Amino acid sequence: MATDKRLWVVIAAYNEGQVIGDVVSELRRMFAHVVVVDDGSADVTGEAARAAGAVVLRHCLNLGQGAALQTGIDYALLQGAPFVATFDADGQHDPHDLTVMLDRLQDSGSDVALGSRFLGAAPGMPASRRLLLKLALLFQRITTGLDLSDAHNGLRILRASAAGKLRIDQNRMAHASEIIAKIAQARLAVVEVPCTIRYTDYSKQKGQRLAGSFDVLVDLLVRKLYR
Amino acid sequence: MIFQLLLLVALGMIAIYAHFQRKRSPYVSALVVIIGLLGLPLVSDPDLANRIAKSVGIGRGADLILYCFVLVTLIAIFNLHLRFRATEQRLTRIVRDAAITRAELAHGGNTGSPDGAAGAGQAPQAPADGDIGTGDRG
Repeated sequence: MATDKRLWVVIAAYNEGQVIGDVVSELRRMFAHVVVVDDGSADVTGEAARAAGAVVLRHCLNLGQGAALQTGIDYALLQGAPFVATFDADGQHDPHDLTVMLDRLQDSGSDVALGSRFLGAAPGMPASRRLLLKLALLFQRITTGLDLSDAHNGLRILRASAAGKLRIDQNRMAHASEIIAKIAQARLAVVEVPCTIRYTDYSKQKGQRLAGSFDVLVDLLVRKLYR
Repeated sequence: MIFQLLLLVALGMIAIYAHFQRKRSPYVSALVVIIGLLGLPLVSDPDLANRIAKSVGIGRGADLILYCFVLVTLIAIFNLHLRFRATEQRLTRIVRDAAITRAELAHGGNTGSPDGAAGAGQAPQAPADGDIGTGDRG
């Protein structure tokens, strides 16, 4: 199967040595360019990602997921990437969704494609997370005016032109809402595409801090305070 | 009397020190110089604060000093907060730059893609166009 060279997949990883290898291998079967930003991990994240076929950029200090994504996006743009995707390191996203999203992005002529678990499937999503996400959505709608069906989903594809306009200044978790706010500010055209979130035990205990815990609301408030 | 003397010397020294640091941070330096100089008469004439306080409608001189202290402290905290943010942003830039530079040195603009040369040589500043292929996937 030929690998897609148009899309550069950027993953921010911090101490994900346990799973990053599988995530990268799965992506590399479909995409030629996988960039992992090892955000100062203390474990074997960088080595595992490299062994699985990713280009690894290493932050010598832990700066946070937002900063790591921006580093990966900068690198991809420097290499001339026409499309840049952000993808979570914990294995909760399905690489096949990226293909669908890229097609939809190109067909619709939009600037940004955002994955939405509410248009798609989220097997095993706990009810408490569903409720918190709904609250976050409401807040997002009020503060940015963007009517989206999902918040804090790490699955995105940006055209190079759009990626160049979004500078992530929030180093820590608040970057997710920052990206949405900046998309709204820059008046970028958004298409939402259904995606599957795999709620595995690993992602539940690790990655899901971002995508559905109380932190989401805290992040949104913090962003308001800082900017 | 002894305490007054100590305070006067301390305030004077702080003002002088701040004056010499004015190139580093003109606004903060000016603020500290002004506060130091304003403190001198207040210390040397303990009743002065009371008289000023009365004239502006605050009961006691100590209260007036406390209010001013709180105000100045808040300004200082805000200033430190902004500096902290700016420093953090600079740190981010350094770490990001180092990460990207190292990757470009190591990969020479090639992502290690084994499927041919099409992806190679895209890096504008790639110093080495080497084929550091990681590609032993199936």
